[in-house]
Amino acid sequence: MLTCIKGGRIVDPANKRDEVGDLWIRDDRIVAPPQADVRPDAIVDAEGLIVMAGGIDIHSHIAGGNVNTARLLLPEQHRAHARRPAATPLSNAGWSTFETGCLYAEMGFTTVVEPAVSPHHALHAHLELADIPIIDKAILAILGNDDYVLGLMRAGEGARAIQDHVAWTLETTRALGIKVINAGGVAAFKENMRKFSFDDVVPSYGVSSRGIVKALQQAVHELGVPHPLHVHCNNLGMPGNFKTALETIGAAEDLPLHLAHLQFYGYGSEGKQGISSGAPQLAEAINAAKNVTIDVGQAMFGQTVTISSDVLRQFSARGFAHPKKYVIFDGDSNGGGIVPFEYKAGSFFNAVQFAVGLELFLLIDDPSRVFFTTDHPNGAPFTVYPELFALLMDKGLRAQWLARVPAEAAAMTTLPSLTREYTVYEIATMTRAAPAKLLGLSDRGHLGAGGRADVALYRPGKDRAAMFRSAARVYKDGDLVVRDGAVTHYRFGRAINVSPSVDAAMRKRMEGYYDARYGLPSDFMAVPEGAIPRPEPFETIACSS
Amino acid sequence: MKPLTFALRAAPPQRLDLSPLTPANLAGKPMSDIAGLELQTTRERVMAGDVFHIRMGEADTVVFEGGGERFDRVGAQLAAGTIMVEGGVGVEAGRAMRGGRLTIRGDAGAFAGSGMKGGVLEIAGSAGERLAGPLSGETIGMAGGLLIVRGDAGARAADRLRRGVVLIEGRAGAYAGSRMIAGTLAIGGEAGDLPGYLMGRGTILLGGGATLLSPTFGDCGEHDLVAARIIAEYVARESAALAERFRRRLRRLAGDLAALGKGEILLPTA
Amino acid sequence: MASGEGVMERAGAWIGGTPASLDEAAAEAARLIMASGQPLFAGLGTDVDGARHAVALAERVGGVVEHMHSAPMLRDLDSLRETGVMLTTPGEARVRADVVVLVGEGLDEAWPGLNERLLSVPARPDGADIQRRIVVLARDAPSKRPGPVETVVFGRGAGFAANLAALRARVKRRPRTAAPSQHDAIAELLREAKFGVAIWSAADLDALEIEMVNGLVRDLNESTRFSSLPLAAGGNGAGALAVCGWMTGFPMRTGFGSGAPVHDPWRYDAERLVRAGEADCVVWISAFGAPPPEWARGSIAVALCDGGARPAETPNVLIEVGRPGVDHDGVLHSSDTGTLVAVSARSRSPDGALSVAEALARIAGCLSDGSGEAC
Repeated sequence: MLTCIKGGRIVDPANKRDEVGDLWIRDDRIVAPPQADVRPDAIVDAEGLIVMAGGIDIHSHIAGGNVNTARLLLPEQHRAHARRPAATPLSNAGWSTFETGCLYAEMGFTTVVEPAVSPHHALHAHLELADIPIIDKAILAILGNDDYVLGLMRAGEGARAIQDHVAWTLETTRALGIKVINAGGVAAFKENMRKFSFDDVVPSYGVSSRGIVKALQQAVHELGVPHPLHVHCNNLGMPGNFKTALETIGAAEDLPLHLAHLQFYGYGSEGKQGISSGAPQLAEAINAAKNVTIDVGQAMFGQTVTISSDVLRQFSARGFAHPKKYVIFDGDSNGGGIVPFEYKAGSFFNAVQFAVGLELFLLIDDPSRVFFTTDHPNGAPFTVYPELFALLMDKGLRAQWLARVPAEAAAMTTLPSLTREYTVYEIATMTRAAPAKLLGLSDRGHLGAGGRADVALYRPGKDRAAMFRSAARVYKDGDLVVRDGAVTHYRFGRAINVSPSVDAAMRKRMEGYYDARYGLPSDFMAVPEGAIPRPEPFETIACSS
Repeated sequence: MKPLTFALRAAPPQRLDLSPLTPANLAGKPMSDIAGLELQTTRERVMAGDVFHIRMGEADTVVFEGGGERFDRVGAQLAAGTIMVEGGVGVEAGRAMRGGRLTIRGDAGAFAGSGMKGGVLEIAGSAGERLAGPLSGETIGMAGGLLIVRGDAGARAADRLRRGVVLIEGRAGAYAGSRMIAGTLAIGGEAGDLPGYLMGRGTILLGGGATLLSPTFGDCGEHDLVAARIIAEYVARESAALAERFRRRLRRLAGDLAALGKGEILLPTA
Repeated sequence: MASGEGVMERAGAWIGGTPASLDEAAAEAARLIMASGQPLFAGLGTDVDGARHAVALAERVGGVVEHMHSAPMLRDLDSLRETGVMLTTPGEARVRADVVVLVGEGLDEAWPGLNERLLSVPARPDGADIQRRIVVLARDAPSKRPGPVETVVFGRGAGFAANLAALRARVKRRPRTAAPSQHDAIAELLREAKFGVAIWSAADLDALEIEMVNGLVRDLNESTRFSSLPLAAGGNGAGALAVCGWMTGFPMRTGFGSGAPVHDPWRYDAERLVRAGEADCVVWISAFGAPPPEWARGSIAVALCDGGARPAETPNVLIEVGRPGVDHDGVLHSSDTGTLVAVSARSRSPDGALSVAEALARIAGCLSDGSGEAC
């Protein structure tokens, strides 16, 4: 099947293209324009439309035990009303995996990363991912609060052992990368520490957060995992915590590091309310540190639920639960905390949070190092993406939003003075070209020949949010799955992972460890392909070493 | 003024969701539209005209002639006007009502008055479990209004009551006033085991005592409580028997000390 | 899922007690389901994939999904979704807890590995031995559990709930609580725990008792660390709960009659639906040997059961299925890990056994409603 998408504005930053032209798709791949005498099987008139690669979301909590607990915690918040469309069962079931896939696809997103899976829960996460239609997906496995890694460090086993363990974890959990969440802080909370900073030491192990982050960063780098260590810093959400983020950036030295949802670390402690923006200082540091990438974790006003494996932080936030209920889960390593929360435009603190996120977007110069996230659903559900795109592209719209928040709060930030407006090209960089590069997905995020035919067509208009909410057409692997903003039928994508070679001795060690400590075979956490009820559920990409 | 009347033709083939049949939703609709309102709870469609013989009238007053255990969600979201059921109802009668008056001549099922915020719900017969309580997952039960049960109430009456008054002239089941946040619950007859379990604030009057009181209610002695007299004046309009109980000398127990502990159980002395 | 010719040969199927081919049985089951006003998919004792197919089929035909152990599971879940709870894992209880409180009875049935895992204690992370103290809040008889276990008798019926309340008030150091003095000693032990874990089976506690224990654990975390481990129900209840959660957003007792999922624990209680005559086609799924309960006698239209779980009365359609993890591979919730685990067949028969997922896929394949499929 050869399709020509004709006469659209092709916005493809990976190939430095922004021009009107034709895009050719043969089956599931993008192909070079054929000879003039070749006739396509189908011609799609894209005149007046914007043509981009499918969007890639690098950090969105869409699946796994904690997400599922959040669903069950909040039945009153996702009651379904609409009858289901015949061709897409359960797409009307609020917050179901099926709805998740449809909503992403309808916005033109075709690949999404669930960034926080505790290794023991990997199978559960993959089972949920398998029931998310349309999109491809991946998980990041969490290390850095688990007894095994901390034990290796206490024993002074050195970089090689940690590297072997990281490789074993990636293979066993079928993950695309490694995340560390409040390194050491979650383990320390089990010993009743209620605050944990970058140079604090985990009781019983004698290792610092700094040490854990650096060890894992090194291991991920040495293994050649394309995605650098994905770091959720200490002191999330606390006034003055921009300094924690600066310390973490400083510790990265010259190796690659990704800082997740930086907005939540963008707070100073100036002013009468003791909360101010630290975004300018952070942006300056990021602009200087070319090895560091970040995603924003924008906060938007409204009811949401915070889902995080930072158990210490979530425990501290339980008093702010709205409605008043929560789950704090002391897991085998990270566990999780689920605390419903409402961001209010009238709240001084929430207003600063809203501004800090936008400041980071606007003050960090390079759109290929700042990623578009709301840390779904922590800052806001991913369904607000269209509104957020519009805010980035329109300073007038930002002024309207700022008029809703306390003036004194806005004054604690630089947002009112920022006039930058994102271009469509920069949006495409941030949501297509750059994330593909960051994750090592060479056949995604671009529209060059050989690329996967994940393509989104948007109808531009005055209402930019409307344009991004309802893609005119979306192709996944060359299959037209969205027409005029609605999914037409299901197909099921794959979970993308890396599989570095694993040392046989480490396998043996893990068997002994699980037997001695938990009385369990180490394969209880395995994710056999046969357990996932989809054909060819995985796609493995290469490590660089 | 003639009421809008729904006369039951025959026992319905399935549970019905009668929440569409409120004054606000019926006002101004012609007969044909009303007859076409969907009431089913299963995949088989049931329309109002299938179940009821409809007699048009002023929608401000809605009357059900006949009732039954499958009449669910009667008067849900009621904001103004009157609904009268000349029979019993199923679950969630008056669910989340905000105003107006809902009268049930017979018995009501579970969750009557669940989450109501205003208005008056009167049940002439008995009520099932979780009277005025929240549905699963909700953190707040009844938050305003007046709920009267002339007969008995099932377990966990006034669960998570936050504001408003619940009057039960007969007996109450186990755990009456469980998890109360505030508000007033008065029971004329004997209450079952452990009234006020996990209550934070609010007042429970046990007119006929309870089969078992929790050790986590501390005895604060006998009093002539001014607040109880004020409640008595209010209650007298709807229930002379319960008002009389509030006017007696009252033993006050503070609790639940296992929880916030700022609530009270009042026991009339002889 | 796979459904080749081999499936037909290896499956036992009956219509009205007479042997039939799997295709015939599936077609008859589909006919009964489509003729029903409100089909009920109950039992749900199956692996993750079986539960997925049951939810998908129920959604497609506008039926109800229910599990044989919903009642206790929803008691735990109600406390979770209406208050605040602190949870932990069997693993953390094993490697970290210095105080374990066993609340009520039925714990060993819910977690057969309890004694083995909690009484043989590995070293703490720093190498020190854990001096674990185990307290049993018993209903009446002192605990026969091996090892150094302290038993406190809390009584049967409402007395148990009253004692739980008294203990929590003592932990709060509330005056004027008429509690027995032995509560003070336990309260002190709980307050001094470094990482305590309360363990119970919801099958033995009522909803407010569970909420009281959760509140007790919350209170203790004001000063120390304490968590809880509500044990999972049988019949892969926790696995089915997880599946319902991600596929529909809701737990079991969810109906699809309106074309959208509606969760209603009262209305969609299988026992109530059957007794009230509201479910006119019961599809009973039980692949772990649990026979149908008394209320289901004579009302089962379609039974998907393993050899040990056959209904006494002949259902209209009976399809014999294998046990997950015994006769075929599957994913099950494990009470030893608290997670979903892939389990391989132990005694695979030459052709393999039919799974619930395969049987339901066969039935779904006989529907002609022009609808899309979720799995």
